[in-house]
Amino acid sequence: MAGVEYRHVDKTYPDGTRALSNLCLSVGDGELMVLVGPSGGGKSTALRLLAGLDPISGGEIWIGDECVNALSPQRRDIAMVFQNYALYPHMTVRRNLEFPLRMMRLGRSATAARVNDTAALLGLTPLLERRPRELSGGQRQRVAMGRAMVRQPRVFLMDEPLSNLDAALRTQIRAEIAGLQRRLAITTVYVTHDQVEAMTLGDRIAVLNAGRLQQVGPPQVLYDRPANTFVAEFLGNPGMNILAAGLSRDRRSLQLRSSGWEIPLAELPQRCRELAQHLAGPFLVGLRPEAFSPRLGTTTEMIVETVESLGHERLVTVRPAADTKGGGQTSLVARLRGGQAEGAGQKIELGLDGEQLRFFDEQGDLMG
Amino acid sequence: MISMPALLGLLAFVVAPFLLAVVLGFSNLRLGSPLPLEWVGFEQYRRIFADPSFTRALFNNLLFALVVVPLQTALALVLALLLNRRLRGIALFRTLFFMPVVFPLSLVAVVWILIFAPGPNGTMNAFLELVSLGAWTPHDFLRDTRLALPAIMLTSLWQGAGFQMVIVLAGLQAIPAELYEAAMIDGAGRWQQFWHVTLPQLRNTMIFVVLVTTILAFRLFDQVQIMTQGGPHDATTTVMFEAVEAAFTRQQVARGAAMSVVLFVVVLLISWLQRRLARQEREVA
Repeated sequence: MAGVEYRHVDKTYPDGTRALSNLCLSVGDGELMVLVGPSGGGKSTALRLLAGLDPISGGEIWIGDECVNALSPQRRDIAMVFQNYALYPHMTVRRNLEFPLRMMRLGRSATAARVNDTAALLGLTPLLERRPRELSGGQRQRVAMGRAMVRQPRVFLMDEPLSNLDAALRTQIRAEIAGLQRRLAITTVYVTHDQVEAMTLGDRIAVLNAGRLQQVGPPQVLYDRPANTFVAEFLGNPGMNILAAGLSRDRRSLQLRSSGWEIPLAELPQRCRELAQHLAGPFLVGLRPEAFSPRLGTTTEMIVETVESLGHERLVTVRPAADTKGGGQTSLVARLRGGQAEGAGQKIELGLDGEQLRFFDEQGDLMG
Repeated sequence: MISMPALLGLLAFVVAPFLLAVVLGFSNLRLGSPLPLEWVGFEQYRRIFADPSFTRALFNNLLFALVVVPLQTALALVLALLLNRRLRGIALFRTLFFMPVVFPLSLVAVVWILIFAPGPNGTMNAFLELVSLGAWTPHDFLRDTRLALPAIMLTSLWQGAGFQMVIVLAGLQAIPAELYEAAMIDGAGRWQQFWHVTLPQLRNTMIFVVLVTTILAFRLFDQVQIMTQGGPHDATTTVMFEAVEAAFTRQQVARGAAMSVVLFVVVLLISWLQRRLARQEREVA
């Protein structure tokens, strides 16, 4: 049992690519930390550095009270689940599960006992004598989990472990992983590019982009108060709408620029004191798709561009009717429920929940 | 229907000559002989097995295979492991080790005749004298009954290892890097990775290499023809050499045909045996 800490970690690959810059992140003992971000964001690099598979360029990584920079992967007492599972194809499931224990030189009876326990826990007992190629994707995934669990490591590393499964299985195994992790209480670093997985699994989420840590925190906090526009747009499906905006001369209303919208919002300056500094200049406003509603206060006329129906809700892309230029730049996505389904080109009235507005400065950092 | 040309080719150039060899093996055909053609049944086979030169040839082939196949396979594996790295100039080394394969065997044999030249100035003699600190007395390798076959083995090893090395190298590079990473994290050191990942993953490649090397060992001819002519005292004769001698030098076509049929059966038997052993191992493992 041990926590993990990245202290000012840098990674530059030999070809000069800077994969991680000054990563500072601490994962508590028994915590499930999800590293999420687009590909090339540095999340897999962070995991490989923790595993010891790639050398670290700067800073320190600690597992428990030990700096592991100089330790080989063999001596870090970690276990990893790979995206493609990396099961040993020439070994049966039993031999695969035994392998880490044999490398630890655990006794024969203790090995058998642990393998049987792990197999029973994961429902692998009937498959023990089969080989990986005779298993389905979901079963292979379980074997990979089992091989990681069987040695009771200090830290679990998971590198997109669900990305090769179909959607239904992914949801099911996601829940299983969450349950197992909570039961075993082993510190886990979980890498994914899928924000749904991140939101549902993580005790905390760390969002990485272009090698830099954007924000760390519990999923709901990141969703409600994203530290910058990148996190705002990355989390949520679809992400937050980000628009250029400014205050009107009389300071009573908010104008969403380039869309000719005006929203009277008397309480705005209280909500976000820093807004006062931006009276003259432009800033950015973020709106979650669920901030729109047809039945809210003052409404604005919108033209429907596309409708995606998910059954229980509709994702409707709209542009303000006042915006005559059109084009994707000012399109907004609204999440609507109930009522009649809209048709493309139709005009509808939409209101905004001012409580759900977020304000970012021109650099994209959250003001309030 | 599309495979017809290929089947015809196979029939004309492989099946027909082989069947002809089987048929001729039961005759007494000898080019330029005044005697009429007769069917003699197994008489040719009885005669060749009674011929000490032929049994010696079979023994030499067997000995050659027993020594060269394991050595060459091991050498190829070691070379491949050494060359399977990302180092500057590694392509140059790969080319160097592969070069002997490109040289014609006859040329290689001539070069090695020079290396094995008798007297203290022969390269091999001089080398052995140097490394043994003068204890080595010069030998005439290719005319020494004890040293001639080992000399040919050495030539073959040098010439053949590069080819197997390339095949093993391809096998090595087909092993997913993830397996090594998983093994490392599971606590396996370098030797354990080799034992538990590399070797099992190379299994099919190695079976292929051993099979091909064995077949090539039984077809040994060029080096013998050029370096020793089967001598001294049949010390380096081989089945192929005997068959060619019989059929083309002495024009005993039927005798040569019978010898090649024997060679075919021996190679078939060994290949079948190896495949069987390999399959059994697969089921056990």
